[in-house]
Amino acid sequence: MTEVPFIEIQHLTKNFGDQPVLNDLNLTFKAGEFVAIVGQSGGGKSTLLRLLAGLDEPTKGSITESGEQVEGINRQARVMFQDDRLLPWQTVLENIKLGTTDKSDLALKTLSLVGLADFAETFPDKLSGGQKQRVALARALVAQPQLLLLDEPLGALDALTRLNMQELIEHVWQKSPELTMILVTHDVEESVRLADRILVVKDHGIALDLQVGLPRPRQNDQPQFNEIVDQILGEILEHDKFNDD
Amino acid sequence: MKKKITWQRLLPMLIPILVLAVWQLLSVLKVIPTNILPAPSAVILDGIKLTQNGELTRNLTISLYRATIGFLIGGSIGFVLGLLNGLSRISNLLTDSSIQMFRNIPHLALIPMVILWFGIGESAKIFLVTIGVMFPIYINTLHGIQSVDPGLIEMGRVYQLNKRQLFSKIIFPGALPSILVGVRYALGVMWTTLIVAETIAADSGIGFMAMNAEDFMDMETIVLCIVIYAILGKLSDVIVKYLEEFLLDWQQTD
Repeated sequence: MTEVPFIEIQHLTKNFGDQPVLNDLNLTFKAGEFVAIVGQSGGGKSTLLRLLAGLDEPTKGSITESGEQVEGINRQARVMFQDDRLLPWQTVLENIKLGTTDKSDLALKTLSLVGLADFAETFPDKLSGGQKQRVALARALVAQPQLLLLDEPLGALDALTRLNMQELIEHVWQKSPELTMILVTHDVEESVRLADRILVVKDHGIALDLQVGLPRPRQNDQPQFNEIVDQILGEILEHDKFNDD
Repeated sequence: MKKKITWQRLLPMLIPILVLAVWQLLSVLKVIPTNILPAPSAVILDGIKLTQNGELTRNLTISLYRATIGFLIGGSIGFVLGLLNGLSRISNLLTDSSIQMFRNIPHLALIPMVILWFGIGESAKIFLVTIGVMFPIYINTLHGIQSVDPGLIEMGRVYQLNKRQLFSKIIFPGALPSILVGVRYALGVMWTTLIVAETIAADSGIGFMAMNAEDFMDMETIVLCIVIYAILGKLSDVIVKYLEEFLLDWQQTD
């Protein structure tokens, strides 16, 4: 990994009206990093992701990627949303090829990677929730982005499907050394299982920036795994136990 | 399985066939006097006679011509206005309020004015059909575009779709079910408008044929015209249904 940051966030502030959501944030991300952003609902996790995707404009400050300031939609990034956002009137293959110049071979290869090679001509409403998110992941990967932003993509899935998807996301990231993944999640165990670095967003800023050095694959029955989970939960819940009335 | 499908296809025809049979029977038994309602067989014979002398074909052709031209003009205007106001906020602010005001005038109330403007020529009927079909298509096109899931449009932006691709891949297909509802409704309005227009101000067409028959107390022809309107209405509905099956194949349940 190179020392030059892939993404540099400087004095980033985002307000909605008079309400501050993120305040004077300074962060860097290295190329190929797997970062998880955790925190309570409404804390600004998804706002940070939307700013990185270029879907929202910062109130103040800047985001620089590969030395260039991100303005408008971030062309190097793809987003996987909590809902699959597949086009119901297009087949799985057509959905995957969205926004790419015809790359049928690559699209089919990516479909195989997510285990849905037999569903190329199927319409999305014939797929389960987990299969739809696999298609959404394949669609994000076909464009071969440098940055993959995951906005709670597994939030609506059942426990077993969620575990399978976590394995798939980890596998995809391991296969692509230059792919930077930023995962927003409210599931602390998920963040420890997948990410090498965890950011806790609280009070409009970063309350904790933690490197996770555990070997992979990670299991939640490892003592160190649970120590990290407890540390993060402690940070998220600190103060809130007094406010939560 | 095949037997079941054949039965299901035949079932919708059961009530019309029963009605015709009972109607014919009551006519033969003279329960229904012919000056009140002629027998179905008499209406069919009248239809054959009018086809053979060319009168029915001539009037049917002119009615279909008026309906088609009026529908195409009105439908196109409604569709384009719906697109403009659905896609452009400025256009919406500029024209939607005026269109909504105009829409609330019953278009058939314009008939006296239209006769003074266009006489009883083709333009008057085509104009009325145009006005009649324009609004359902406008409203449903606009509603369809405004109802497209904003999440899909946002996704399209993230996936670098340009404006043309956003329209062709997301906005138009998303609005299509609503547009087709507008087309179906507009076809109904099209026939109603044409019937009224041809009845009041025409010297040809199915509506004129019915009014002319009234002068001669020709009950068979009056009933024939009503049946023709029913068949044309049903035919329009079937066309839209096939159009929906073809264009919205992704909505099929199996």
